[in-house]
Amino acid sequence: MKIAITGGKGGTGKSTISTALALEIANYKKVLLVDVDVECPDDHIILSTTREKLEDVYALLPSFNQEKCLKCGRCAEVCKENAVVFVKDRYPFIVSGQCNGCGACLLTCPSGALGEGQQVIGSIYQGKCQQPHEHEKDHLLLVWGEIEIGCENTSLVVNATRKYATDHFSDYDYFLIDTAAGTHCNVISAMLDADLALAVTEPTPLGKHDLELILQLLDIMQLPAQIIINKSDIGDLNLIGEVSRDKNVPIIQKIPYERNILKKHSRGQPVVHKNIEELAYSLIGMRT
Amino acid sequence: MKVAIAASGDSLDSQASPVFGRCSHLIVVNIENGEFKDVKAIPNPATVEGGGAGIKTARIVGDEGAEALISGSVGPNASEVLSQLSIKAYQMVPGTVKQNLTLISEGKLEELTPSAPRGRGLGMGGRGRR
Amino acid sequence: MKTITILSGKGGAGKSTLTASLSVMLALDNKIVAVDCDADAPNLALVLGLEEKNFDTWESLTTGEKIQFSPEKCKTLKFCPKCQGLKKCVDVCNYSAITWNDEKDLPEINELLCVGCGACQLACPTGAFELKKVENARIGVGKTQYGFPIVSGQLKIGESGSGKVVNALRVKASEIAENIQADYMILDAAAGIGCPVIASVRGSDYIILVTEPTPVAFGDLKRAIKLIDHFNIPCGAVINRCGINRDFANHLQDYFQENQIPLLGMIPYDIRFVKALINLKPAVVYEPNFKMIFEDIMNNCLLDMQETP
Repeated sequence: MKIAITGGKGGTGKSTISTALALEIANYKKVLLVDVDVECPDDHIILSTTREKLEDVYALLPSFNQEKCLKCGRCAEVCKENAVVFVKDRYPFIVSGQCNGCGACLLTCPSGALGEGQQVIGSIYQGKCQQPHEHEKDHLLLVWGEIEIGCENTSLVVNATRKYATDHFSDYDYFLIDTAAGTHCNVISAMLDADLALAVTEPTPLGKHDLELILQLLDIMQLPAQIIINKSDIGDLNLIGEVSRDKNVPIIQKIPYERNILKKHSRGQPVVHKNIEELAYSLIGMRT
Repeated sequence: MKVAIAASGDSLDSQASPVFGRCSHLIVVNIENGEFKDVKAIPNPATVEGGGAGIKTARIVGDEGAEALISGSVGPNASEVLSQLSIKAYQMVPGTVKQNLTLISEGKLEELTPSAPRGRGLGMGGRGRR
Repeated sequence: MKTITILSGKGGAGKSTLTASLSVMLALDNKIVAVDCDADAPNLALVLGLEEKNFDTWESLTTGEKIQFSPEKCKTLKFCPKCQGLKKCVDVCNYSAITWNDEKDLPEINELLCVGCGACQLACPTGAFELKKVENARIGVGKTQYGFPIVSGQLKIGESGSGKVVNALRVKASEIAENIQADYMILDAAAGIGCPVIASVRGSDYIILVTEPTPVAFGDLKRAIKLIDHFNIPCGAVINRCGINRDFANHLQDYFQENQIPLLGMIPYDIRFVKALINLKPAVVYEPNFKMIFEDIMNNCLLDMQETP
């Protein structure tokens, strides 16, 4: 079963909850934690994991064969990203940082002067907890993606990470997918094959505003959703209650803003809390 | 030598622009024996662009056949274009277009290299520093 | 006019909190325009107490295109030797936005994944694909009650192109800045270091890095610093919630010193900051005792901006 942990707003506690939940579920089942916040992946820091590169992620970066080039400039005309530069009477070239790997220039070249080159846009890693308890050794693995800094093709790296996980770790009972903040393509890509999405929010006007947005996205994606209210004692729970009723999305757990949670967070350590335990039980269908 | 300069206006008396990709104009001049000939002011169409702005502006410099560019700062994409086109970039000094062109014709402007040392916090940041 | 971007990498580090209070302080003696460069889940206006319905204008934005597919063109030429069975559209899409529906024997487009590059349009021999402009966002301009305008955007959920939306927001803000002869434009960047953040960083004059003293925020911060190095823009740092881990806060200060990043200020961990957010007021307005903290940050920032060429 694939469960995405998302939320729209940054800092609501996606990674905190993802890592805590992963550790909890790992007491009973095999869990693959997939961190697809590829711009700023955090789970490997919270879980203090090892770091082993699995593979690089490549994007198409067309290469020019000047002998065949007619200097017609069609490649530059079709490029939507302004990545292909054509100065009259000179051979065109591509600014690699601007190229999004769509291949339109390749398709339009009348003389076959463009070849299928590549550039590395990110990498996929795996890691195990460094201080494992007995069960975690075999039952919990972290896989994450990291994008090359300055690269704008986040969703390509997210997709590659997600696909790698699906292709290579099908023997895991649960996938927990820790998405990035936001509601755009990299979050969409992260949740493409999820079975359930947990929207993490906080009981504040900002939390409510962003929850409405993420629920809208989950609706468009036709992904079943449930709400987790983090820092549940700091604001007004009614704000989220309203959204839950309005959108008919259940609130399945509340996690209070306790001192020991903040302490763990401040030390970059995973959180342990009975509400996370309960949440884990209910997700894997066990009774409290 | 044909020189392009990023400018904040369309004449030789306009201020040189500290930014390249979004400068309002590009002024192209043929410098021969210290004289400024064939002065051409091109409004920069890339002013409303995002990431492709610098690339577009650099392409215009290439289209005009300039061998050198004077600007305050050039982003990584524009730098790559200039380098591919073998156009040397020079650091502008605050002042008019004319002043900068004079300086370059006298060989007094410094090259702008992409790996130029960062001007990171030359100041102490006041009381913020502990 | 100078542009200042506030950035962190990590979500929830305090970008909007800092942007709001800094803007209020700056606006006391300067003309400014604030821009919320998080078009996915924009919060800055709310933090400044301005709800969407109270904005002056909202207009729709079309920064992107999506592919439109005409099944008749594909079907009637089903037996065309050029494409029959070749499924070129599926092959060329590098964004996995096109899959083949075996039942209908037609391609299916996942609009959520389409980035509007037009590769399928070029590959299809029957002209069954055409790029059409789509309204992918809306952009609003409002007046805060603190004497400055704010420009904010909202990406239509499910649409792409948040980077281009940020560019459009900056263009709008520049127009306003020109009209009011603004001294400063303040950009509140989104979380992460991807295309909307890059769009907030390009061409900025100064970056304020906001972080908190935790290993996770530090990890993200280092990636954000690499990003701004790529663009060669001067920066300064602010440590938010500095009391949650004093040891780490000291470690951060050492790091900044070693890397010649001026520390512009430290913001304490205080429940009143949370209360300010809940009450939709900038921290310096909710709690006037906080003014000094942000005034210091502002002054240090302006000083550092002057000293860096």
